[in-house]
Amino acid sequence: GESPRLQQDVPTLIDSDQLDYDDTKQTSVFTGNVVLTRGDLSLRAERLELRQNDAGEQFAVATAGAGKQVYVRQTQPDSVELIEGYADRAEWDSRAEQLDFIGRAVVTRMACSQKLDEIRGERISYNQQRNVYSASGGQMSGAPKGRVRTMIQSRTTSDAAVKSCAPTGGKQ
Amino acid sequence: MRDRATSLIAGLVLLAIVGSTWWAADYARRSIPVDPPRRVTHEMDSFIDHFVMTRTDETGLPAARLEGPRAEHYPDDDSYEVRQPRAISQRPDRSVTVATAENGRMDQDGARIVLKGDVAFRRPPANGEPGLLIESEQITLLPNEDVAFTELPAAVTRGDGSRITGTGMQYDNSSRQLTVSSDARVKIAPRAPEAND
Repeated sequence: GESPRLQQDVPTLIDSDQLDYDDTKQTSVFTGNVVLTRGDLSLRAERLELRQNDAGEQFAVATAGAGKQVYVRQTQPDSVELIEGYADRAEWDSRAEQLDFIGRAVVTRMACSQKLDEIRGERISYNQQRNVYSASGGQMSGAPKGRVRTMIQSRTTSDAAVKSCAPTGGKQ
Repeated sequence: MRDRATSLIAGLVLLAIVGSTWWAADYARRSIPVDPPRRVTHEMDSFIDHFVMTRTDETGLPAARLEGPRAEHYPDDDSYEVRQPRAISQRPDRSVTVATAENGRMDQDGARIVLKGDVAFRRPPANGEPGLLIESEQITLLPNEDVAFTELPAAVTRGDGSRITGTGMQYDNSSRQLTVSSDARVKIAPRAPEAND
């Protein structure tokens, strides 16, 4: 299908309780109920450090308070699928459109609130543009014994799930 | 016996002289009208039109300027009320900042300037860096520390179009750090399309 809207021309909106912004280094540290939204991506964390280079590309590192995890939700622009991710720490690179979930990471792909597939691991990298993710194990893995556990629905069931709430009459 | 009488008389005469000179001095001091105490009411005692006040830093270089069409001085707290003030920070090694407002009040011997009414604190773009504009209903400047802060809601607009809003802000021009103390919201503008290709 056509490539999703170029993510670069989308404003980034970040809400938080406090903010420390360094104008010379163009770095911002957001603390307290941080919510970042950028197009179809939204991220919730306790603390977010954002660096922006002169070309306007953003690099963010989000961490959660003790006992909580960073939550990321990414909907696909032209389908009912959505990706939900939890991790101790999330790193986001707007140039490479890469999202890394690090530490007890769990990424779930859903369609019409039905779980299509789920990956657990210590580190899961998700590429927003190609909608592809890769996972690696480790002792901080979300799955038991530090391995990667992947549960993927068969193609038929996931297509059925997608069709079940996709707008009828195909794409407008 | 006579010696005792004469020394007694001499002592008495001496005592009289000391007493009278003390009385005369006291009488003289009381009779001269001493300056009346300074008026301590909050009424203007002097004003300046079209003024420029320059503060120099320790090395004597001009560090900050306050200009305006009119400043009124109040003796009770030694403060100045300024209409349409322009407060400029111009330290050699730092970017210039210009703050304007409807009116301002300078006190603490110039260490604090409180700007009120449509306040715009601007750092013009310089050597390739986008400028910065902070707008609020009230901003307090501390020229010696080169710091500006407010407890009220404020909005920051950066030259590249991104905006920061929040309640309670502090901007330190020496380290160019900006802190927002509550409900901060940052909107980073997308790169202008022509900037990409």
